[in-house]
Amino acid sequence: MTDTPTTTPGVNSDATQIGGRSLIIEMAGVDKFFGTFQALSNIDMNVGTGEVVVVIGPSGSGKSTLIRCINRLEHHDRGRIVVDGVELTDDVRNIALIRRETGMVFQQFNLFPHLTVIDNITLGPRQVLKMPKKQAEDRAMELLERVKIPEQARKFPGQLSGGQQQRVAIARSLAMQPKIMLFDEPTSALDPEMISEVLEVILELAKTGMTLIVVTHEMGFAREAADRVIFMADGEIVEVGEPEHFFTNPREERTRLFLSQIL
Amino acid sequence: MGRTADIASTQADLTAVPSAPPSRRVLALLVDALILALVGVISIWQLGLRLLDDYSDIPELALAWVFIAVAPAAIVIIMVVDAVRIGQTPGMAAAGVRTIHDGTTKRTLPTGDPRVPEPGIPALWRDVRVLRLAGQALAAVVVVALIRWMFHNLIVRMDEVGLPKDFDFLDAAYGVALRDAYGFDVADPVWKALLVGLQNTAVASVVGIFIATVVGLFVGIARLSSNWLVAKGASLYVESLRNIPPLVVIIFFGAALFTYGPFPAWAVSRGHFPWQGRWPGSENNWIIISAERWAIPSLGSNDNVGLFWLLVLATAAVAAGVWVWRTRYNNATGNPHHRVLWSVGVFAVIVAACFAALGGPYSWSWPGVSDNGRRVVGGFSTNSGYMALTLGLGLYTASFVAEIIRGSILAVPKGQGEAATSVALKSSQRYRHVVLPQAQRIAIPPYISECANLIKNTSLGLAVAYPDLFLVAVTAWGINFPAPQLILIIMIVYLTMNLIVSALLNMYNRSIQLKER
Repeated sequence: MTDTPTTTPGVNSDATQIGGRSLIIEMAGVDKFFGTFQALSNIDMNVGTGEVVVVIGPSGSGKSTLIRCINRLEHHDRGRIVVDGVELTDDVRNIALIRRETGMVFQQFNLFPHLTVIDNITLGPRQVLKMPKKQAEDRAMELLERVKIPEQARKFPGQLSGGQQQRVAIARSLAMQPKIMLFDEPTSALDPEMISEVLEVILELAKTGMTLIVVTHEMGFAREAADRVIFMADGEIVEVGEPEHFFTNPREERTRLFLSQIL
Repeated sequence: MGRTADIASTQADLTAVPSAPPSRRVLALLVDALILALVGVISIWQLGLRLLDDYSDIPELALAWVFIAVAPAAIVIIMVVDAVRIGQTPGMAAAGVRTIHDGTTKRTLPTGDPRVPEPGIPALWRDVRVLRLAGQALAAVVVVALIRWMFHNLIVRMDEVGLPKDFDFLDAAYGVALRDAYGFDVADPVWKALLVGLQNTAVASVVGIFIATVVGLFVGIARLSSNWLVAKGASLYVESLRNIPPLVVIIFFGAALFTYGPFPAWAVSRGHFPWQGRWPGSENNWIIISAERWAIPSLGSNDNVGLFWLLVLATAAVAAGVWVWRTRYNNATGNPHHRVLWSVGVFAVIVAACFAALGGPYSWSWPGVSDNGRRVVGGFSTNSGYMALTLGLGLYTASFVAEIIRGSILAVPKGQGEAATSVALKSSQRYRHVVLPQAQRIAIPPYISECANLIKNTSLGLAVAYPDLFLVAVTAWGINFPAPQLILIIMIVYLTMNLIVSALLNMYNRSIQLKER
């Protein structure tokens, strides 16, 4: 890996640290094909512990595929992914370990509709972490207070609004005490009033020092919370940079084109 | 622009509106009275008198009713509704009187007043309300006339043939022996025969549904397996059984089990003695197979059976207690409860201990062959018709149930499985806690249909001489009991059975519905 030439500006694949933080995710030379269509080509990306990385790009650029490869919801065809020192291979034990370290929040919330909110949150801890019921429920209530909806605990997801559902989904992922949180366009299915309540929660998470990888179209959020912004197009990482430089003075032409369309 | 100004000025001085002159109002009342009188006469004459006629006039009257009975009824209804709601009647419209109705008061104006707002009353034959009512009344009349005509034909025909039109035949002697109906004699009344038939139908239905559900569950999930052989085998099962008519499947099983196939026709009529399966060196048969019936050992009860069953009940309570204990244990510590294994295990162990301690409250009744192989005595025997019907129908319906289950699992949104995976649930946990609960909600309505289908298909027992309700009724029909009443009875019975099953399952379905706002 040390002699792979890096073509992505801003990424040093030799590094064991990024900005003084130890690496928690390493991706090197990752390719992913859907049939003959190449969704990811030669992805090199390293994420440090506690870093907030925001991935932006046009639709079809492979942003969702990228983060879904991290927790093995998609299976990468080539390259190497290492999460918190565990390599992501076909070994079921590795996969299970990595899935415990990562939590994911989906665009469509994907709450379990037949369980109450609190059962949604406690399902993982009780079944996987073997937590006793009372302890799991106490933790769940703490998390619900953290996302500011403790009164919805006994309701069913169908009875909540979109913003509330997404916050429950965030609480559900946090209940497993992951080291890394992955967000796949968390606010894209919400209407504008609810976007801010969800973004607040994510911002608060960022401030607590959790490693976040957020795929989003919310540029305001990227500017405010990101340590690094990654721009992807056509399955490749086009540019990486700190938000101040990225939004005001992008290096690549493709980045400029994208930003001019959305800002 | 001008119109709104007009309306504004209209509403501004409603208090100053004059009423219609008395002469016009009297004229309006006269016209209304005339219409109502006409309607009343026609209605009373046609509807009142003709309804009491006998059936022979019905076909001609059906059309007459359209023009003479339907229109008056519609007209009366419209007149009443308009009079109440907007204070206008056809008489007033004909006399040129209009009403303004501003929501609280009605004022009548003569024609020509420019402040008159819409709407007026349209001509009756163009009024959409009249047309709608007339259409519905017409449909009702046609249906009633049709039914009465068909019923009339039935009555006439029954009189010609000499069939009784009542239900007294139910007390007459049935006269035909029913296979395997213990306690039924040929002199017993028809209603008792029908009851025996109903019992047989119920037994075949219950066992058939049980087989269909268990096999269907297994095959449905097998078809989703990642093991190629298992998946393809299940597909083969489903595709072959699903595409053959149920009658053919039943006859096939009858033939395969009892006439041809791996179990040769051990029938005395073919010169074969029923096959008796025995442990080497033992005198007892553990199974007897003949072309007519199969028999297995059964349990005959001894003296302390009552005590045994009391103990079984007590053990069931203990098992329930174990279930609750394991659930509490899981809540307290988080370790898996394995409560099914624990309850069932405790139950089985204690029941076995009771069995042994009581010295065996049951003794085996071994089946045997008598009368030179013509009869099977002892044990528990079933006739070939029952075996063919329940097995064939159960396996046939299982193919449909398998597809329902496979479809319901695939219908659970993919995101649910992904969300479960992302909270690190294993595949078995994912199925148990996320996928199957949601799949069951999708599967139950079509499953209700399949249960109903199976119950109805038990009428195919006719083909394998299984004395279900349908065969009993058809036999009665064949010995000249009145067919219309019999068919009515069977239809009502099947309908009731299906409605009961459907109501029970729908209650369950409603209780597990997802809650939304």
